[in-house]
Amino acid sequence: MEDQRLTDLLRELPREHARPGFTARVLDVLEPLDAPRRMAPRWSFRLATAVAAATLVAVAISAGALRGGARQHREAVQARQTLEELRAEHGRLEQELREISAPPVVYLGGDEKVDYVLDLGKMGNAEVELSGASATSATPVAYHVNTF
Amino acid sequence: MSVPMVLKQPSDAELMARVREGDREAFTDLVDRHKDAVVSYLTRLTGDRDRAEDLAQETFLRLFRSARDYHEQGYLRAYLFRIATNLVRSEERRERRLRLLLPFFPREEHAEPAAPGGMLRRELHREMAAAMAKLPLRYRVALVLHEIEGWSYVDIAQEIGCREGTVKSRVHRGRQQLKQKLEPYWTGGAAWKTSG
Repeated sequence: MEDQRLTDLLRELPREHARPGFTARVLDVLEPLDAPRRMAPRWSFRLATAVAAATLVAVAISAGALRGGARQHREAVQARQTLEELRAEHGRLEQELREISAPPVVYLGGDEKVDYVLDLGKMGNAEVELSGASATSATPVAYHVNTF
Repeated sequence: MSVPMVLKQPSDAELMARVREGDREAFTDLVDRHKDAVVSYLTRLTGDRDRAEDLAQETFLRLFRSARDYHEQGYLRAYLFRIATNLVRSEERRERRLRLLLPFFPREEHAEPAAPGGMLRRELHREMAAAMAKLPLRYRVALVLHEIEGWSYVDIAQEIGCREGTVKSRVHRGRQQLKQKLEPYWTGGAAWKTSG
């Protein structure tokens, strides 16, 4: 009996109706959304944009890499050139140093047959030798017989 | 002899096809056609008229958003009810989690305005709605679809994805629980019989 009463009660529950303006409210909320049809091009547009952006980035990276490679090559050539210049400079300096460090020779005089030349490179030994002798007895330690 | 022109209403399937093409007028027609059913179903499911209206609005919005994925199966209302049921399920799950998180906060009880004095049947309806809202959702859905919407067990089983026997069992258990909740009305005399 209760079962039947319950069934009756359930069945006679009044049907509810949407309040006036329900559809308008739904459409108002819908307004900012895009229609499904418009969503398709939007998707393709987004996809195209993403692909274009990715391509651009790839091109930029490649160009950067190429440019970087060229720059590296140019720098290497420049470095080699600088190294050559440094080596040449080093050689010149060494030569000059050798020339400077060579002891000077003093021309003392002479005649048509003999030139008296004092080789200062040998002065160290001469001083040792002269230390015990008088200054007046100094003699040239070397001389060249060649005339100029 | 002039033949009277009969304006044939487009079917749900035709309207949905137009909605997929972005036709808002078709969508408006669909909302107008099904809004009362959805609001009524949700009111029975939630026991709260205002909440039902909000959820019905969200149901139609979801229908619109998923229009492209919708596959015509011949019964759009069932699809709408499924969306609505899922919304209620999600909302109740959220509420349960909230209650677990905030056990010390008093929960605001939703009460329908009191019925005018003497209108016992209306009061009984209110009690019935309140009792139904307290049933577990799985019983509520089966009960509302079968007892109020008049769906067959087979259709309900198909719609909610379970066996026919399960639906029968849920309807039966739902009814049992309803009877228990409405016990005072059964034993307190045939109050509801007096007004009607």
